Amino acid sequence: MLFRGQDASLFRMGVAFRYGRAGRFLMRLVLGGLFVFAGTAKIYDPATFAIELERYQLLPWKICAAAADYLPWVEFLTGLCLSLKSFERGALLLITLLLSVFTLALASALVRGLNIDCGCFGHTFASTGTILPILRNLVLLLLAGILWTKYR
Amino acid sequence: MRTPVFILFFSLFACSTYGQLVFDQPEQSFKARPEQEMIVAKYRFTNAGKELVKIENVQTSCGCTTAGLKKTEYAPGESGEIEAKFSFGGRIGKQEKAIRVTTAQAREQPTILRLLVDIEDPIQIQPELVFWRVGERPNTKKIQITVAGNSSVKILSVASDNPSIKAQLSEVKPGKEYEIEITPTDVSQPAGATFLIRTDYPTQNPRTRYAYARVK
Amino acid sequence: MKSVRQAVLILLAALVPAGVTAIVHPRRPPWSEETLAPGEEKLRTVLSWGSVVLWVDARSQREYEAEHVPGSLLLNLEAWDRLFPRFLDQWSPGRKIVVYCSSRSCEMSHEIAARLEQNGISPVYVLKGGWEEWKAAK
Repeated sequence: MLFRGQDASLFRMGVAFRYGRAGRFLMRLVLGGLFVFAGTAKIYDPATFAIELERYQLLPWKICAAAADYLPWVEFLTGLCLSLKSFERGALLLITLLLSVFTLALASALVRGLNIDCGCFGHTFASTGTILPILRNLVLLLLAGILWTKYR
Repeated sequence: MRTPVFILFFSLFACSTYGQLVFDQPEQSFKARPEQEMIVAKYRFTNAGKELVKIENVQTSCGCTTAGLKKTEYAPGESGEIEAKFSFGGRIGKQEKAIRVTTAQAREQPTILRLLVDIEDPIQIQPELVFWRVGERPNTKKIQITVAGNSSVKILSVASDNPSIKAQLSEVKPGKEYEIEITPTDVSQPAGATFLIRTDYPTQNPRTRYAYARVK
Repeated sequence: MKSVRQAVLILLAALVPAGVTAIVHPRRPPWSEETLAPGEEKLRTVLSWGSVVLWVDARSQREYEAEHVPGSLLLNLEAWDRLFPRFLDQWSPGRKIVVYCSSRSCEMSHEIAARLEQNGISPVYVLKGGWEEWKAAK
């Protein structure tokens, strides 16, 4: 997820409540809530989000602009649906898709050595500013995966 | 549905590979305050090759950084750790230290580990530069010095290297706020001055800070 | 599958507010051109200013010594105390300053530009695309 400056210590919660009803409820709330929060932050300022998307050098400008208008709303509605347990399956599918795409984008930036959040010391590795979001998204993917097990 | 998610999970661990030793995080960044005096960074690695790897040399770029490890030989699949300790020695600002790891099996291809530390300076000089245009009125300009956070710094003196541009130090709030008044005596031609601001910070190795004046 | 149907519904529902955003949001991204972040300037524009420009390289010493914009001055945070006075010797008030770092996505040029501006130095611009952009044009 392309958060800006957030940190979530969800792993501890996931371990404690892994499969119980209360656990699922909490995970849904947390995952859904995070997406609502992240979406809202970007709904406020699509122009800056578009510039940030452009920094990844993956998409042409027009697509970045369109994505900056559209994606935050997808995040917001998906998060809302998940939290309210309506269209839950669809929401989970979208969350998995979104997280995977974002994580791949971050990984691609890492591999190409793009100094995106850089305290630019001028070499090929991106700073921990890229690694931490990747790890965070992987944890979130794990939560989504766990919530999926209900539908197996 | 679960399987693709977990495949994605494992495939996204990007590690760096140099020869047979694979380092988890060959570059580590830290933020620190001067009072901490040092940083310890641990570089974990695994022997991902099929042969025994012997680490011959772990060399640092300066005497301020020491690096060590518990043993030198690693069997295939075995993991180890290089511990690097960087002593600040009164340095401030962004520091970058390199650690070169050479193995007997790949002497021509040493691994370079990087240790980046941003040692935050609580002393803020605003602005660092005062200037006048030639012919402008030579009125006094001020530089504010503020000490951030919990630190308390004593500004010992401010000296100008150009007698025609004078600097006058005054204490606004002891240890926290100071003011320097700069007055040029002659603005009819280009001139410049560097102000040496002597402080008692950090205590082990007090550092002189700088501000500048120009007439252009 | 049910999950796909639901997902598509959510995706369609999001199109409505997204469309509204694209039309009326005060901070909507501009369509026509690549946008310039505040303080940025395109290489083409900068080159048209000619030799009045004072080029500032915000990268590391290593990168600068390897290659740099001809006539540019190195100015980075690591060696600020040593480099800033040298910069001041070349600078004069009102002279256009263009700062660059390695690429479109690096932040250092913005940091250096901000520090210069804090010290009352202006106008300061950041080269969009950085050193990569320069090299590509030569």
